[in-house]
Amino acid sequence: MSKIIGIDLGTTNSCVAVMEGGSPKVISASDTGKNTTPSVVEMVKNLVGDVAKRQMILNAVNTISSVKRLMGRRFEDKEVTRTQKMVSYKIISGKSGMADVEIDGKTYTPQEISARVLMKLKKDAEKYLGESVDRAVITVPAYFDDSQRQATKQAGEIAGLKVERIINEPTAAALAYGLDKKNAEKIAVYDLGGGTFDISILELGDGVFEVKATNGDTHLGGDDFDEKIVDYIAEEFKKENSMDLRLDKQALQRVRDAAEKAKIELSAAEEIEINQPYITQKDGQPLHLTMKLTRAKLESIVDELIQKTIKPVESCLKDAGLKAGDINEVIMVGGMTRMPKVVEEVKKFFGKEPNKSVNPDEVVAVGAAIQAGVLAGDVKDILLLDVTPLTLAIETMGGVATPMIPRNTTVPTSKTEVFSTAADNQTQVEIHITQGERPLSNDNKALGRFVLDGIPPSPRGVPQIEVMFDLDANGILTVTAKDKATGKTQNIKITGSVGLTDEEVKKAQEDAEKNKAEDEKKAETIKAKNTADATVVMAEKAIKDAGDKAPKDVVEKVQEKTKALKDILETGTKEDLEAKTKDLSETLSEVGQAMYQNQGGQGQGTANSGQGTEEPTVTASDAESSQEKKDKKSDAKVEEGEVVE
Amino acid sequence: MTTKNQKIKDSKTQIVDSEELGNMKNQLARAMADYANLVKRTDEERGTMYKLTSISYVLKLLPILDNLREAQKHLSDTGIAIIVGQLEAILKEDGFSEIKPQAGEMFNETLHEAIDTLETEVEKDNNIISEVCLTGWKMGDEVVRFAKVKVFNKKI
Repeated sequence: MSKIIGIDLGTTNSCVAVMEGGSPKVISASDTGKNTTPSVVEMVKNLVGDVAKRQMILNAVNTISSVKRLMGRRFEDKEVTRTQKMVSYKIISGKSGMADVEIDGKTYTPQEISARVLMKLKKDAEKYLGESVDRAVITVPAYFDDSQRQATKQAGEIAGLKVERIINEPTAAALAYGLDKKNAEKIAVYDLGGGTFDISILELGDGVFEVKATNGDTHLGGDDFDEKIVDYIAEEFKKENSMDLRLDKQALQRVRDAAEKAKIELSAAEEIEINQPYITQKDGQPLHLTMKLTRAKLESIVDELIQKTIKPVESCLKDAGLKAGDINEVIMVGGMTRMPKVVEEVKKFFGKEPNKSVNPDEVVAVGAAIQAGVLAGDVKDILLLDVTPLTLAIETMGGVATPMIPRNTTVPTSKTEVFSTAADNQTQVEIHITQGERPLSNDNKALGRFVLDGIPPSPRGVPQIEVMFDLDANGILTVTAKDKATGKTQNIKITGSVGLTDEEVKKAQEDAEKNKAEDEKKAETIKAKNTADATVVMAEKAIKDAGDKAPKDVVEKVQEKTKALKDILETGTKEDLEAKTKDLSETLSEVGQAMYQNQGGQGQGTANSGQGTEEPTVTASDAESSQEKKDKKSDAKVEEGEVVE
Repeated sequence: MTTKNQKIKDSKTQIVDSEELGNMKNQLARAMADYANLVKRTDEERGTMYKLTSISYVLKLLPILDNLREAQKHLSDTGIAIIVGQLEAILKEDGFSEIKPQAGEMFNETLHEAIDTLETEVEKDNNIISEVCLTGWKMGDEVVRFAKVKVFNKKI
């Protein structure tokens, strides 16, 4: 069965999302790569979205925007009358007195026009999913009456979509924030979009959202904010240059772009520079637009518009029979809610931090997708996946916490790695499991430990111990260690490794951050020590294997340097350990060199500069040396440990 | 409870259990399919990541090229001409090509954006470009910036 998509069919822009793997995913438009599509349609050439917008000014009578303002409304409706004043296309009274649009002698219902937008979104979804889509959940404003909801449903059907449900936009936003799962009973949704402002008060009861009251301003949105900024910039320029940039369409376009850029940048910065060189000419001389704009100035320019949203909020609360303090959660929807001043005013009014972590342009579509997922049977409680909040690790040589499952890994998950022994003839390994972000096991929380014994005596680094960490959806960690030679296993089950409190997680992360520099130094010292240790073992083995074949003076040198390194193994600094390890490695290579020379062939020993438990690797030069030796057709006995082709 | 009722209860439980099992199998299959599709998509997206990064960076640089060209119109400076040439060469090397409409060409919404109209009485001039305000740019076949133009519009 095909997926059900969630669609936010907006006045200015529309958005589509779908549930994937239990999470909502916004689908970008296949032609532009953007996550929203302008709700603009050119009916004659059948252009939809950005392409329709690009030729709108040229073809205003055939290009329909803001058709949502006409959906399910009668021709005499005040909103229809107001919309006609704003747009260039012709609105007429159609069947049963409903508002229709006349284009090129033909009549279209708002449903037919909206269907073109829905068709495009459907197509984008099909391209993304690689399968056909024929079902959708579509959102509408909470104040939409039955006629308007029916019209929206019809638009879906015309577009080839079975509309499984029509849901309210504020409800969708609440779903996107998972407020149906929290104890939030009373929710305020503040939606300041491109062209409209809506405030809704919802009440959650028995898992169902009820709209208690709605209010707003159908002609107040981000476009008005942009115009205020454009006017300010143009007026400032006019003061200096006695020229009104708004009269030159080309210059005006640049001012609009600069105003939008300024609005976005001042959400993060306190002050920006607007630079538009060669913006126009006067008396044959170029004029440049350069000015500074502070966030404080921007806020004062748009303050009047922000204050215009407060009265509808007050009225809405009054209609719901509530006070600002009664609201449990506030949600921000619409691009304009990114402005810090808007958030500040809302926070001041309700006395609490609003929810704004979900992209405000996409939050309604995300909520629609979640509802769609529930209807399709995709989303159920048990499928809501958790993440492991802190890194789960195993202690390895030197007390290092070797990560097995990094933090923020989605569960259930499992990870397997093969380890080995640290000492010769080591017949058991202790598996010590820790949780935390610090590089050394002792500094992290110990979760458990167990021993796997019965490992056949072997040189260090030879046994293969497979360790598996398995973390299930309930947070139960099972760690299993298996000796691949004998097949012997041992395991331990640890509960509660996922369900930590936020404070515990935060503390662990803060501890790691606080001690980062010192921990790094310690970890590097341990690494140097492990390398030194491996080099000592290798040196002792090399001397033993060489027997009397290695020159006495070289052997003595190696032994002397091995002792020097051993002496500082426990207490030496990182720099000393590294220096002496390098020294020993270089001296060790003389053993092999001398041995090959004594055998009458050229060659180089393989000096492994401390790879720990790994076998020495054959370098390219070694391979060449081997080949030369082979070519010399030596009858000498092949020594144990040499690489033979 | 009688044996018969117990049997009915047990069989109902079995039906419910197998229904639940069926639902869970379905959900598991969906989740695994979603994951597999995500892996495929991620692999594809990796390939387009370089392209998107390039485009994003170039879009920031294009206004500087525009301003340099504008400056050059007024200054006719050799040095600036060289700089403009260097920038254009870099863009070309990275697969970008300019959309340079001419006045007199037909407006094409797949390449141009109309920012203003000029009324005309002449039928044949309808939708013809009257002035190019800003050139556009493409990367391969994909338009990264549409050319901004003024267009003749026949008075209705």
